[in-house]
Amino acid sequence: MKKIELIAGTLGILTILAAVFYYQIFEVVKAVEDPVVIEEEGELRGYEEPVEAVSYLMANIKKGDLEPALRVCAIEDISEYADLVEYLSYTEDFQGAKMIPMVDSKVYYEITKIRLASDYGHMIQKCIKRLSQDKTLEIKDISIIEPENPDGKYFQRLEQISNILGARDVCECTVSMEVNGKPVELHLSLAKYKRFWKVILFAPMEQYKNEEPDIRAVDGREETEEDTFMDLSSYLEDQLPLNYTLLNSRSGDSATEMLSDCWIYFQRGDILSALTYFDLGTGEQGPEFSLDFLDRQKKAAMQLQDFYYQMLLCRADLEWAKRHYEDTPEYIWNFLKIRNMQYVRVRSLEEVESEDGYITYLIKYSYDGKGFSRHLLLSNDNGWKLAAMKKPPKQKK
Amino acid sequence: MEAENRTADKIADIKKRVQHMKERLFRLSENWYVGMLVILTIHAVLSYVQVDIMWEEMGQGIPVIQFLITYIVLQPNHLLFALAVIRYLCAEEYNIKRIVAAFVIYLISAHAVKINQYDEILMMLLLMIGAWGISFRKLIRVYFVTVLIIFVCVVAASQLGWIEELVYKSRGGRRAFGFTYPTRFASHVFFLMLWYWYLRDRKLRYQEAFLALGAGIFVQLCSKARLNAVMLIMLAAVMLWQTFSFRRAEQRGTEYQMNSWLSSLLVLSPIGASLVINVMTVLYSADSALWKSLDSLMSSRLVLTQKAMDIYGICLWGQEITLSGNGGLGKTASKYFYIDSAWMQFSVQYGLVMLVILLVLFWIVGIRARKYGNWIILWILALVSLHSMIEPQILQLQYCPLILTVFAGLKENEMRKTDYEEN
Repeated sequence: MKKIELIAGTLGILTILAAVFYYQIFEVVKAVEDPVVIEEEGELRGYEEPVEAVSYLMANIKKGDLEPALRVCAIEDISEYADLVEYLSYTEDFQGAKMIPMVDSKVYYEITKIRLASDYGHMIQKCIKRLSQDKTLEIKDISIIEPENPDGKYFQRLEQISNILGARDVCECTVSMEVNGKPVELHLSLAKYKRFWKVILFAPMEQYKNEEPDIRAVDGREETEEDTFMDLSSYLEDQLPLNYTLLNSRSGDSATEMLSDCWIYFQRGDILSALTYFDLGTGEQGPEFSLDFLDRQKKAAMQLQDFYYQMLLCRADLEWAKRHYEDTPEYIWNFLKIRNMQYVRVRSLEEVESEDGYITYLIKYSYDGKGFSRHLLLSNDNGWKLAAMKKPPKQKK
Repeated sequence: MEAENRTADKIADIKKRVQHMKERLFRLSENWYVGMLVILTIHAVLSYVQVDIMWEEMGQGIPVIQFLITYIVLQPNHLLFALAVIRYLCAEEYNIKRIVAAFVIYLISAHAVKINQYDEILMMLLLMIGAWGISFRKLIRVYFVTVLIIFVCVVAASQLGWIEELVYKSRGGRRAFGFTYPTRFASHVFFLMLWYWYLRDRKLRYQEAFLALGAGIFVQLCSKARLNAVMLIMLAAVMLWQTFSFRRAEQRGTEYQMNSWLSSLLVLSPIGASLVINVMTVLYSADSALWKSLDSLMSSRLVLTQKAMDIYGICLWGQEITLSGNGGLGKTASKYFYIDSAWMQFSVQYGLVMLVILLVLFWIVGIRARKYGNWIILWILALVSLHSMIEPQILQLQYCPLILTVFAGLKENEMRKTDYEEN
């Protein structure tokens, strides 16, 4: 009898384990194995002097090469270390999904990284357009700007900015150059992460909201024979590590199964796996770098950020938060925690429109006692992909 | 020769003193253990009462009190570990198998807790390890009185309006009688009845079984706690049948022996119950009307647990999942996510390693209960295992210290081996 009991008990425990393993292996939706392009890292990891980082940037701007120039921007670093709580206590300005998330979680890290890659890409593109495209660009000088007699306030301000960015140090640089023989200055801000300096703004730190690079024509200075130009060509041989996201592409065999998998990714906060299902116009060869591709990635990431923010902040009193940034700056941060996604419940999924190769679904879901809905536009090109995630238009009463 | 004799006498004297000290320390540690059990039980029961007790803020400004509260009530694991070590060092007989088993269980659960952050499992397992050589009956006597006093006080206070009584609107009104949720109240009734039966043992009269029946009807009428009501009614039936069996054996002048098939079934009940709920959760499909209605009967327990498995997956060492239920709100929570089944909590939150260890430990509870002819413990194990398919109380000190029987003494004869007083 005891033998039978021992066998039955052992078999019982093994069956429980088998059932759980079966579910884990065959039923639980797996994360995508290679959601992004991975590149082997070279020897050079960054520049330990701000002037070197700017020299690398300017060499590539002069060459008109956007991709390597992007690698000196603090994309990964801001995504990882920027602190929303510090930002809000300093600026007292929360702009919802319009601004990068800056919340300490893998989800928001990936969204920020994708957004910043596109933003920095546009900044560099503008610099190339205004400084080097069909123009003659000569770099005269790169210098760090520091006030002659910096006071305590100056250092305090730098410390605050470093805290927001999670950087060890920050500084501002000016690049003096000639564009078609005319003297021009470009102002840049840099931050030091670990040992390396990265570009954070294409403007002085005060103008952090600028959407245009701070390129100023310099008056009252004439070219003299003594002017010498910097030779930055050696920087063109450098290759910095890949610091932006290039999403691989995947599609689902069935539209509803694909949506079901995506929903699990949303709830898990596995943003990269979810984004691989977005229709980014990736060819068969895989993703290729272009500003347009970065923009499409950004658009998809922003749709997801908006999806999360609309739900997670639905009970947040942003007006109250504005008045209490100083004493409770973590108020918004607490709402945005991705763990809250476990409370989301799908209420219904219905097909509302179907065209050749396209289906629109209306998904209704609830969170924290409130109902939400989204239109999910799916495209089919040898497999189903998510073309857009939009709020349904408000119905007129 | 004389010098040698004197040295031998001295050594014998020292040995005697050491032995005496060990005996005293062992006895002291038993009292210390019982004291800890009472304090931790009070803390655990009060945590589900509709009163805010700020344990962390107690004794502010008085470092000694703050220290005691922190290390006895809030973080008792260090003290429980020390207590267990003392008890094993000072025991009269060293049972190497037990010592090794206790050490391995401690190491594994400490590692799991480091990862999954559920300190309470370690607390229960340390209590279990430290219970070696203490009579389980004695522990339950103290435990039962402690819980009963608090329970009666809470219910009375809620009826006198001294503490808030939450009434949930669902199912036509569910009263919590001073506790944070109706099922928490109802579970107390169920578990108190179980321990009452254990203490009454063979002295139980038939009429007393109707107490369980009445309690079942009461919790269904007032708290609409379906599972606890069913379990209490089932308990009443089992009490009647078991009392009848005891009496019949007594009349025949024989010692009662449970049918071996039935006893095996009861011994294996934790594994069986865990198997059923795990398989049900894995097989649940929202596309099937049958599963949907079953899930609805179980108040969405299947769908929520499956959702937890989908989002978080299953880990070897478990993971921290923030659960949010209706407790303490007086209404349905707008953010609700709860894994109710204890067996599923073991799988999803505590991890597969802890699931296996706990199943084996509960299996041992059954084997030991049968070995010492403690048939009521065997029934309690089976009823609690069934209860745990739906509710989470099997490893919660405020309800169920059953796991202590893995090491605690179940039979007087066994107690004599380690209890110095008996010697």
